[in-house]
Order: sequence, then structure tokens, then C-alpha cells
Amino acid sequence: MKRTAKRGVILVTIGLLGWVLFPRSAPLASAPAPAFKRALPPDLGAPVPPPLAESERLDNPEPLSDRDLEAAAQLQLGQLDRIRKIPGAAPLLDEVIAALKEDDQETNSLDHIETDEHGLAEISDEAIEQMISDPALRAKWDQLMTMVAEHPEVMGEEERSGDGE
Amino acid sequence: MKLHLVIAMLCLLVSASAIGSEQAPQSAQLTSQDRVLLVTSNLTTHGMPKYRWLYRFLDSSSVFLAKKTLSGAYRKLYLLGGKNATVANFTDNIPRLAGDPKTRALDVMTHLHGSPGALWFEDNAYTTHYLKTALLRSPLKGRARLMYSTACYGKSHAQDFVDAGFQTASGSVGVNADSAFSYPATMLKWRRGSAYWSVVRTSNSRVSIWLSDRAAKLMGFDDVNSFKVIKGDTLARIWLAARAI
Repeated sequence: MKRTAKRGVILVTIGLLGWVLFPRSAPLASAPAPAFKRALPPDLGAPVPPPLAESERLDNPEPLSDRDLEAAAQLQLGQLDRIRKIPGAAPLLDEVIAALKEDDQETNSLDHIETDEHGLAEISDEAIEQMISDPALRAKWDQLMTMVAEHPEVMGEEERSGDGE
Repeated sequence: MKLHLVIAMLCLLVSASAIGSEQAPQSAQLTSQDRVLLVTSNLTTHGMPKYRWLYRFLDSSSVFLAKKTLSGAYRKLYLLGGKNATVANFTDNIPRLAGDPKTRALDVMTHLHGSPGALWFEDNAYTTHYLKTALLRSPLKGRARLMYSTACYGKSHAQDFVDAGFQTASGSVGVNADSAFSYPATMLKWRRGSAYWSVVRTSNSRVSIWLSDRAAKLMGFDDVNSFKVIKGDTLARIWLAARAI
């Protein structure tokens, strides 16, 4: 009786091990990889909304107030002061700002970059050259942006919780 | 005997599931060739004329810094800037880039003025509800991954982008005044492969928020709040495929 029970346990164990180690391998060998949540295909079945009427486009958004624009600009100016604190950045920033103020053209600097028929430009060395045509000024921009991108002091602390909602 | 068998089975089960979980994410991991970035930038058009030089600095910086920090991390970095930053180009190009069979994740970084519930393009202001409706015409889910925005009131826009099919979106609670700091900080940490909640945590630095709040109070502004919040999936990472949520 004991021996039969032991045999039963061994057989069940072997069966379970086979189930664990070779799960549905034969019939699904050529099937796609098991569905994993992060690899789900795009949701092609999303409902398509009806076309928007022209009148629906604006939906009366609140206009930008001068007060908000002034606040944002003033605070961005304060941020420039933080860039100025990076060792070596202050003179470069001053020269870049002076050039921008001197060349107070109506057009956006980004309008000088060539685009394709969709209005897209590839961000490349060529695009940067088109955006800032003066080589000497471009070199200063480049140096300044390298400092901003790499200098750890500009990155601030990493303690404040901002886990979102 | 029984106990040994049970222990052995448990060990095998754990090993099998460990092997499985190691293999599954591999299929979702991306290389730079699978990713495309779109930078949308136009602060100059609707900025105050007296600060045109500042907004031109910020517009040009958005391009420079994207190249400095993310070049090599994406197959291509695209710009929709200046006069081309229209709503039609925005809503046409996002699905077009996301629909490229070679692209498994499209990330968008937006530098536009914002007001509660709306973004200001070259041509006009559009509610993000309108953008959502326009973007919903194309299947973005599982292709469009990150919508990062430096716009004021970006929090009020983020959910519409998630509803439009983006995996995750973030924005500031009120007037945003720390992009000079938070934009490069975000890009650097994103490039390093951190989860998006951690990226945003970095950009919500204590120093930056404190400086912004203090400066705002000194100037008598009460709508300034550069603190960023996330809508959608906080676990997105640059090396993971876009996920439909």
C-alpha cells in the first residue's frame, strides 16, 4: 500500500514537472511569443471619432494673459541666472543673449531650418548651422549648450518626490 | 520524501517562472533604431514682443539640447518648429511618425505656450480636447509613448494625450518657469533608462521648485507652479516598447 502510494506520488510529480518544464510546447511551437503585457500590439480597434466641425476646433480656450506671460518670462529670466552660475557659462550666455537682442528679427530662428513637405526638419548639424548661421556665434552656443546639458549643478537636487498622479 | 519532492517542485517552478520573466521583457526591449523623437517648439510667436530674444533663446535651446542629450538614443530626431508648428502639422505628423513600421516608440517633446486646457500653436490656440479628438483618428496606442511638455498648465493637457493613445504624459500644475533646468534634466535621466516617475522626480527638484516659488511670491504671482505631474503609465522607460494602456 505504502509502495503504491509512493509510486503514485512519483508519477504525479513527474507529470507536474513535465507540465512545468514543457508547457504546451509541441502544439504552440510555431505560434507567436506568449502575450506579455508590455509587448501588446497597437490597439487597432480604437473607435474613430466623427470629423470635427471647424467651429469645434477652438472651444474657447482661455487666452494667454499678459500677467501669466510676464510671470513665465520673469521666471525664465531667473532660470538663465542659474545657467550663469555654471563655471565659464556666464560670458558665453551674455554673448549669446547680446547677439539675440541685437538681431531682434521678427522671424523665429527655427524658420531658417529646411523642412520636408510635412513641415518636419531632422535635428542635425546641418539644421543647427541653418538655425545659427554665424559660425563664431554658433560655436559659443554649442559650448554653452554642452555646459547646460552636462553640468551637474544645473541639474539640481534629486530628492523632491514627484511621483505624479 | 514528500517534503523533498514538494521543495524540489517549488524550486523548479521558481526557476521556470524566473526564466520566463527574464525572456518576456527581452522581446519588449528597444534599440535606438526602434525609437523616434519629435520636438515641437514655438514659444516666439505668442510670446510678449519685448521678450522675443528670450523666447528665441528657448526655442533654439530646445533644438540644441535635444541634439546634445538625445542624439544617438533615437533613430531620428525630428523638429516641428517655428511657422511649421501648426496644429495640422502636429496632428498629422504624430500618427505618421508613430505609424512607421520601423518605429516601436514615438516620443514627443512639446515647447509651446499653454493655458488651462489649451496649447498655443503657430496658427492659434487649440484645446487639448480638440487635439485628442484629432489624434484619436489614428491608432496611436502601443506606438506613441511619451508626451513631455514644458507648457504652462501642462497638467491640464496630459490626460487628453493619454486618452488619445500616449502611454504617458506630464506637465506642470500652473505657470511653468523652470524648463531651462527641467528640460535637460528630463532628457538626461530619460536617456539613462530611468522609469518616467523617477525622471519627473528629478525635474521636480527641491532647489528648482523652491527658487521658482520664491521668485513667484516675490513678484506677487500666485499661478506659478512648475511642479510636474504624470498621467498614464509612470513606468515607461526609453528602452521599453510603447505599451497600450
